[in-house]
Amino acid sequence: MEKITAHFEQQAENLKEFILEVDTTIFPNRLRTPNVKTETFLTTNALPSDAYACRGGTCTAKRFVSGSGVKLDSQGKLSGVSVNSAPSQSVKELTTTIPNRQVGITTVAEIRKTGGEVIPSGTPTNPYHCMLSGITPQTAEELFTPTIRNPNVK
Amino acid sequence: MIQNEEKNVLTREELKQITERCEKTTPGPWISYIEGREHTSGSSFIMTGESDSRGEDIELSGATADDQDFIAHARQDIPQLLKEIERLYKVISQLRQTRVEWVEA
Repeated sequence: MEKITAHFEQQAENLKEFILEVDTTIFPNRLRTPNVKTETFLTTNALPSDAYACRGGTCTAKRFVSGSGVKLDSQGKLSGVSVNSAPSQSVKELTTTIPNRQVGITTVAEIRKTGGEVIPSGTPTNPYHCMLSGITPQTAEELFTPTIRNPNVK
Repeated sequence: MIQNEEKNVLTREELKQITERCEKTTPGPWISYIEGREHTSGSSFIMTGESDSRGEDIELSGATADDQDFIAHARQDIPQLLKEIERLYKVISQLRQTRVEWVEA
Protein backbone atom coordinates (compact mmCIF):
# COMPACT_ATOMS: atom_id res chain seq x y z
CA MET A 1 0.00 0.00 0.00
CA GLU A 2 2.82 2.38 0.90
CA LYS A 3 4.49 1.66 -2.42
CA ILE A 4 1.29 2.49 -4.27
CA THR A 5 0.86 5.76 -2.33
CA ALA A 6 4.46 6.71 -2.99
CA HIS A 7 4.02 5.87 -6.64
CA PHE A 8 0.98 8.13 -7.02
CA GLU A 9 2.64 10.92 -5.03
CA GLN A 10 5.57 10.72 -7.41
CA GLN A 11 3.22 10.74 -10.40
CA ALA A 12 1.45 13.82 -8.99
CA GLU A 13 4.78 15.56 -8.47
CA ASN A 14 5.87 14.71 -12.02
CA LEU A 15 2.60 16.11 -13.33
CA LYS A 16 3.10 19.37 -11.41
CA GLU A 17 6.64 19.67 -12.76
CA PHE A 18 5.34 19.01 -16.27
CA ILE A 19 2.64 21.71 -15.94
CA LEU A 20 5.21 24.19 -14.65
CA GLU A 21 7.54 23.34 -17.54
CA VAL A 22 4.76 23.83 -20.11
CA ASP A 23 3.76 27.09 -18.46
CA THR A 24 7.36 28.28 -18.50
CA THR A 25 7.56 27.53 -22.22
CA ILE A 26 4.32 29.34 -23.03
CA PHE A 27 4.89 32.31 -20.71
CA PRO A 28 8.68 32.70 -20.49
CA ASN A 29 8.37 36.24 -19.14
CA ARG A 30 6.04 35.44 -16.28
CA LEU A 31 7.45 36.62 -12.98
CA ARG A 32 8.56 33.67 -10.85
CA THR A 33 10.19 33.64 -7.49
CA PRO A 34 13.39 31.57 -7.58
CA ASN A 35 12.95 28.17 -5.95
CA VAL A 36 9.19 28.67 -5.76
CA LYS A 37 7.52 25.42 -4.83
CA THR A 38 5.37 23.83 -7.50
CA GLU A 39 2.45 23.68 -5.07
CA THR A 40 2.69 27.42 -4.40
CA PHE A 41 2.87 28.15 -8.10
CA LEU A 42 -0.21 26.03 -8.85
CA THR A 43 -2.18 27.54 -5.99
CA THR A 44 -1.28 31.11 -6.85
CA ASN A 45 -1.94 30.62 -10.54
CA ALA A 46 -5.62 30.21 -9.90
CA LEU A 47 -7.07 33.64 -10.74
CA PRO A 48 -10.32 33.13 -12.63
CA SER A 49 -10.67 34.79 -16.02
CA ASP A 50 -13.56 36.98 -14.86
CA ALA A 51 -11.51 38.55 -12.07
CA TYR A 52 -10.91 42.29 -12.43
CA ALA A 53 -7.37 43.65 -12.62
CA CYS A 54 -6.90 47.25 -11.45
CA ARG A 55 -4.02 49.71 -11.54
CA GLY A 56 -3.93 53.28 -10.26
CA GLY A 57 -2.97 56.24 -12.42
CA THR A 58 -3.58 57.32 -15.97
CA CYS A 59 -2.31 53.95 -17.25
CA THR A 60 -0.56 55.23 -20.37
CA ALA A 61 2.09 53.05 -21.99
CA LYS A 62 4.78 55.33 -20.59
CA ARG A 63 3.40 55.07 -17.05
CA PHE A 64 3.46 51.28 -17.26
CA VAL A 65 7.12 51.30 -18.29
CA SER A 66 8.09 53.71 -15.50
CA GLY A 67 6.34 51.67 -12.79
CA SER A 68 8.35 50.53 -9.80
CA GLY A 69 10.23 47.29 -10.50
CA VAL A 70 8.92 47.05 -14.06
CA LYS A 71 11.14 45.49 -16.71
CA LEU A 72 10.91 45.22 -20.48
CA ASP A 73 12.24 42.10 -22.15
CA SER A 74 13.90 41.83 -25.57
CA GLN A 75 10.46 41.42 -27.17
CA GLY A 76 9.27 44.64 -25.58
CA LYS A 77 7.00 42.87 -23.13
CA LEU A 78 6.44 44.01 -19.57
CA SER A 79 7.09 42.11 -16.37
CA GLY A 80 6.73 43.12 -12.75
CA VAL A 81 3.76 45.42 -13.24
CA SER A 82 1.97 45.82 -9.93
CA VAL A 83 -1.84 45.45 -10.14
CA ASN A 84 -4.67 44.48 -7.81
CA SER A 85 -6.78 41.41 -8.55
CA ALA A 86 -8.63 38.68 -6.69
CA PRO A 87 -11.44 36.23 -7.41
CA SER A 88 -15.01 37.50 -6.97
CA GLN A 89 -14.05 40.98 -5.75
CA SER A 90 -15.69 44.19 -6.96
CA VAL A 91 -13.75 47.07 -8.50
CA LYS A 92 -14.56 49.15 -5.40
CA GLU A 93 -13.07 46.50 -3.13
CA LEU A 94 -10.00 45.91 -5.29
CA THR A 95 -9.19 49.62 -5.39
CA THR A 96 -9.41 50.26 -1.63
CA THR A 97 -5.61 50.10 -1.27
CA ILE A 98 -4.95 52.25 -4.36
CA PRO A 99 -4.58 55.97 -3.50
CA ASN A 100 -4.60 57.26 -7.11
CA ARG A 101 -7.64 59.30 -8.12
CA GLN A 102 -7.85 57.53 -11.48
CA VAL A 103 -7.77 53.76 -11.92
CA GLY A 104 -7.54 51.54 -14.99
CA ILE A 105 -9.69 48.41 -15.03
CA THR A 106 -9.60 45.29 -17.16
CA THR A 107 -10.16 41.58 -16.59
CA VAL A 108 -7.75 38.67 -16.31
CA ALA A 109 -9.46 37.20 -19.40
CA GLU A 110 -8.58 40.26 -21.49
CA ILE A 111 -4.98 40.11 -20.30
CA ARG A 112 -4.72 36.40 -21.13
CA LYS A 113 -6.23 36.99 -24.58
CA THR A 114 -3.26 39.22 -25.40
CA GLY A 115 -0.72 36.74 -24.07
CA GLY A 116 -0.27 38.12 -20.59
CA GLU A 117 -0.75 36.68 -17.14
CA VAL A 118 -1.59 37.91 -13.66
CA ILE A 119 -0.03 36.14 -10.68
CA PRO A 120 -1.20 36.86 -7.11
CA SER A 121 1.55 38.11 -4.81
CA GLY A 122 -0.30 39.56 -1.83
CA THR A 123 1.53 41.66 0.73
CA PRO A 124 0.66 42.36 4.39
CA THR A 125 -0.66 45.81 3.41
CA ASN A 126 -2.21 44.79 0.10
CA PRO A 127 -3.79 41.33 -0.02
CA TYR A 128 -4.98 41.92 -3.60
CA HIS A 129 -1.50 42.64 -4.93
CA CYS A 130 -0.56 40.76 -8.12
CA MET A 131 2.12 40.87 -10.78
CA LEU A 132 1.18 41.41 -14.41
CA SER A 133 3.52 40.32 -17.22
CA GLY A 134 3.73 39.22 -20.84
CA ILE A 135 2.12 42.17 -22.66
CA THR A 136 3.56 45.25 -24.31
CA PRO A 137 3.15 48.72 -22.75
CA GLN A 138 0.89 49.72 -25.64
CA THR A 139 -1.36 46.70 -25.08
CA ALA A 140 -1.43 47.47 -21.36
CA GLU A 141 -2.58 51.01 -22.14
CA GLU A 142 -5.28 49.71 -24.47
CA LEU A 143 -6.54 47.29 -21.82
CA PHE A 144 -6.49 49.68 -18.86
CA THR A 145 -7.82 52.84 -20.54
CA PRO A 146 -9.99 54.82 -20.48
CA THR A 147 -9.49 55.07 -16.75
CA ILE A 148 -12.31 55.73 -14.30
CA ARG A 149 -12.51 57.72 -11.05
CA ASN A 150 -11.35 55.59 -8.12
CA PRO A 151 -14.67 54.70 -6.41
CA ASN A 152 -13.00 55.07 -3.01
CA VAL A 153 -11.88 58.66 -3.61
CA LYS A 154 -14.40 61.43 -2.84
CA MET B 1 32.04 90.49 -2.09
CA ILE B 2 29.36 92.90 -0.91
CA GLN B 3 28.51 93.73 -4.52
CA ASN B 4 27.98 90.02 -5.34
CA GLU B 5 25.78 89.56 -2.29
CA GLU B 6 23.71 92.58 -3.28
CA LYS B 7 23.21 91.12 -6.76
CA ASN B 8 21.65 88.01 -5.21
CA VAL B 9 19.28 89.92 -2.95
CA LEU B 10 15.63 89.19 -3.66
CA THR B 11 13.67 92.33 -4.30
CA ARG B 12 10.20 92.95 -2.87
CA GLU B 13 8.86 92.61 -6.41
CA GLU B 14 10.52 89.23 -6.90
CA LEU B 15 9.12 88.01 -3.59
CA LYS B 16 5.66 89.19 -4.65
CA GLN B 17 5.98 87.26 -7.93
CA ILE B 18 7.03 84.10 -6.09
CA THR B 19 4.02 84.47 -3.77
CA GLU B 20 1.66 84.96 -6.70
CA ARG B 21 3.01 81.93 -8.56
CA CYS B 22 2.54 79.85 -5.44
CA GLU B 23 -1.00 81.07 -4.83
CA LYS B 24 -2.03 80.24 -8.41
CA THR B 25 -1.20 76.54 -8.04
CA THR B 26 -3.70 73.80 -7.20
CA PRO B 27 -4.55 74.08 -3.48
CA GLY B 28 -2.37 72.02 -1.14
CA PRO B 29 -1.20 70.15 0.64
CA TRP B 30 0.66 68.29 -2.03
CA ILE B 31 1.74 64.83 -0.94
CA SER B 32 4.20 62.68 -2.83
CA TYR B 33 3.17 59.06 -3.37
CA ILE B 34 5.97 56.87 -4.71
CA GLU B 35 5.03 53.43 -6.00
CA GLY B 36 6.73 50.78 -3.88
CA ARG B 37 7.26 53.23 -1.00
CA GLU B 38 3.84 54.63 -0.10
CA HIS B 39 1.66 52.28 -2.11
CA THR B 40 1.50 49.45 -4.64
CA SER B 41 -0.58 48.80 -7.77
CA GLY B 42 -0.56 52.40 -8.95
CA SER B 43 1.91 54.76 -10.57
CA SER B 44 3.75 57.45 -8.61
CA PHE B 45 1.93 60.76 -8.31
CA ILE B 46 1.42 63.89 -6.24
CA MET B 47 -1.87 64.01 -4.36
CA THR B 48 -3.30 67.53 -4.19
CA GLY B 49 -5.70 68.72 -1.50
CA GLU B 50 -7.27 66.59 1.17
CA SER B 51 -10.38 64.40 1.59
CA ASP B 52 -13.40 66.41 0.40
CA SER B 53 -11.30 69.12 -1.22
CA ARG B 54 -8.99 66.75 -3.03
CA GLY B 55 -7.87 67.96 -6.47
CA GLU B 56 -6.55 66.17 -9.52
CA ASP B 57 -3.45 64.00 -9.13
CA ILE B 58 -0.23 65.24 -10.70
CA GLU B 59 1.73 62.61 -12.63
CA LEU B 60 5.26 63.62 -13.57
CA SER B 61 7.21 62.40 -16.56
CA GLY B 62 10.92 61.72 -16.25
CA ALA B 63 11.10 62.65 -12.56
CA THR B 64 13.06 60.65 -10.02
CA ALA B 65 11.50 59.94 -6.62
CA ASP B 66 13.63 62.74 -5.18
CA ASP B 67 12.44 65.14 -7.89
CA GLN B 68 8.81 64.31 -7.13
CA ASP B 69 9.34 64.65 -3.37
CA PHE B 70 10.97 68.05 -3.91
CA ILE B 71 8.15 69.33 -6.13
CA ALA B 72 5.45 68.11 -3.75
CA HIS B 73 7.18 69.59 -0.70
CA ALA B 74 7.79 72.88 -2.51
CA ARG B 75 4.03 73.55 -2.34
CA GLN B 76 4.31 73.66 1.45
CA ASP B 77 7.95 74.76 1.76
CA ILE B 78 7.80 77.92 -0.37
CA PRO B 79 4.94 79.59 1.57
CA GLN B 80 6.81 78.73 4.77
CA LEU B 81 10.02 80.26 3.44
CA LEU B 82 8.15 83.38 2.34
CA LYS B 83 6.63 83.72 5.81
CA GLU B 84 10.09 83.34 7.33
CA ILE B 85 11.46 86.06 5.03
CA GLU B 86 8.61 88.37 6.08
CA ARG B 87 9.37 87.62 9.74
CA LEU B 88 13.06 88.34 9.23
CA TYR B 89 12.23 91.62 7.41
CA LYS B 90 10.28 92.66 10.50
CA VAL B 91 13.17 91.69 12.80
CA ILE B 92 15.62 93.70 10.67
CA SER B 93 13.25 96.66 10.63
CA GLN B 94 12.89 96.54 14.42
CA LEU B 95 16.67 96.30 14.87
CA ARG B 96 17.20 99.30 12.58
CA GLN B 97 14.64 101.28 14.54
CA THR B 98 16.31 100.30 17.81
CA ARG B 99 19.70 101.31 16.40
CA VAL B 100 18.38 104.70 15.31
CA GLU B 101 16.84 105.25 18.74
CA TRP B 102 20.11 104.17 20.40
CA VAL B 103 22.21 106.52 18.22
CA GLU B 104 19.83 109.43 18.85
CA ALA B 105 19.77 108.83 22.59
